[in-house]
Amino acid sequence: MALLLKRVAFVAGLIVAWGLGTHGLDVPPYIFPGPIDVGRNLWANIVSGTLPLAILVSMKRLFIGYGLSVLVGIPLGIALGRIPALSWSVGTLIVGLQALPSICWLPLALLWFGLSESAILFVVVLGALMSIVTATEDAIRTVQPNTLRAARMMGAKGATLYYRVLLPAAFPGILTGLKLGWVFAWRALMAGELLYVAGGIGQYLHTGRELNDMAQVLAAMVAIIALGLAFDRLFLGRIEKQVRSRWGLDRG
Amino acid sequence: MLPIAIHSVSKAFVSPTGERRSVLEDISLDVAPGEFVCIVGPSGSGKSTLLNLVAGLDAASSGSIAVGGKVVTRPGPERTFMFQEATLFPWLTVLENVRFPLELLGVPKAEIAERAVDMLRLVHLSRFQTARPHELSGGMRQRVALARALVVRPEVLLMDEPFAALDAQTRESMHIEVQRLWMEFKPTVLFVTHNVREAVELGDRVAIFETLPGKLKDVFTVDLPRPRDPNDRDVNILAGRINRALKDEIEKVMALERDPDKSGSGLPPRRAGGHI
Ligand SMILES: Nc1ncnc2c1ncn2[C@@H]1O[C@H](COP(=O)(O)OP(=O)(O)O)[C@@H](O)[C@H]1O
Ligand SMILES: [Mg+2]
Repeated sequence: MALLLKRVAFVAGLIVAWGLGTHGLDVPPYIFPGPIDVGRNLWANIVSGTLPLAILVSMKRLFIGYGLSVLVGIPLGIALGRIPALSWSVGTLIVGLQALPSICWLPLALLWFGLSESAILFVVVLGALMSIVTATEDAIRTVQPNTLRAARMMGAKGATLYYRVLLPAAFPGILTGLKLGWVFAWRALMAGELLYVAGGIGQYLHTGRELNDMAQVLAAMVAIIALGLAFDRLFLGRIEKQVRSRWGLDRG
Repeated sequence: MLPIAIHSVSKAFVSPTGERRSVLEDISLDVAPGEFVCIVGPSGSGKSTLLNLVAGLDAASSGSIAVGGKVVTRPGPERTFMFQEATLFPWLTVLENVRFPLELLGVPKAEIAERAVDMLRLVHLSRFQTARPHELSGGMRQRVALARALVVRPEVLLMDEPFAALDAQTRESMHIEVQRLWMEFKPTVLFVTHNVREAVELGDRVAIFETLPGKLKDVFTVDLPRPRDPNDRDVNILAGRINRALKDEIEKVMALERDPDKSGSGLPPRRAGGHI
């Protein structure tokens, strides 16, 4: 609780500094609006329902896209970690693709899927997929050989070996990939929504830009940061913390 | 309990560059049912390799290994293995770790609970059922590993330097535990160590390996009453004799480590993360 208070105090301090900075230095609001302007915009758009709707649209895309990349990425990563022939072929390809921001796929995605939800989902899936696959592959490959030998001695094989030994042993590493994948999915989604306007927070930000309303642009940024932070605190980050302490990875 | 029959076993590994290196040559060793045989030898003499072959985790290049008259081709529930590191599963509690092999064997639920709890009591860890492996000391972890290896009531227990990483006091208390549990369950034991005194304290017989390639050099019979005291005079006399027999072998390894170029084959490359 004390930590939470400190965090809140820190954020409050930042906002105050922001306000004093923009006010004291006389920065015009069309260059860099102060917290009051941004707060006003946020409030107005929350009340009118614009922002909640935008968040809803973005979140839906994010969950579907991210969910798909988890469903595909983990099995693919396991296969890559266990089958050497896949590792040097598909694995190399995936490492290469990881360097490519997934938004680069948007033109092709628009061509293949048209101006549809699928196009943007495609970009989101590719954004998260690579880091989930590589982290899973790595986690599976680095399971201690003796852990596997002990498991085999106890008679673990086939599906049992996967479900009861390999997956739990690799779980902390996979989780790191899931966290990273979440961040990349977010980025891909925002890039997609900015370029290809069809609802969502990206569009909200885009509208701000078109109206030269920097308060709205900053409001959108604040909303994105808040959502990302909330998801980490309430979900992935929390699971990761529990897993790390259970697995005994946090000592020393 | 089942006997182990190792008959003219050889093992060679082929390196990624296609080079063939002989690690074990023509090993023959018969272990009687319920007998405790220790293997000592310099590092790299193939002791772990031999244990892996008996475990069924790897296959011999030639020769045969039979447990209870049945040729070993894969791991089986009548054989269990204890490694230098405890290899407990960190995501399971102590009790769940001990239950694990029973669950894989399909033992009825009620019986699993009873046997796992009983076994933990035998290694004096009843109070730590819900602890996680990382919360235990090294010695306690090896006790859990021992419980996990014995809970299935194996015919054959294979131990690869199980106490090498422990401090002297903890190791001594593990020796007492192992002797007690072995007398209670009487599995046939193959116990690898590089600690000669440990071998004399625990074994009915002590087999000595020579190296490059690994061969069985000699087998000593330890005809001393149990439980044995490591400071006992007879234990020390026998340990001294075995040490002298090992000395030449250890010098061979040392000479190679000092000057690897002098030898034709050279010292085998150290495996990453491998122990001595
Ligand atoms: N899987 C393997 N592939 C190639 N070489 C191996 C393998 N396992 C062991 N060796 C080699 O075999 C030799 C004997 O190893 P090991 O049985 O571990 O010896 P010890 O247990 O007596 O120290 C070593 O030189 C080691 O490098
Ligand atoms: Mg060894």
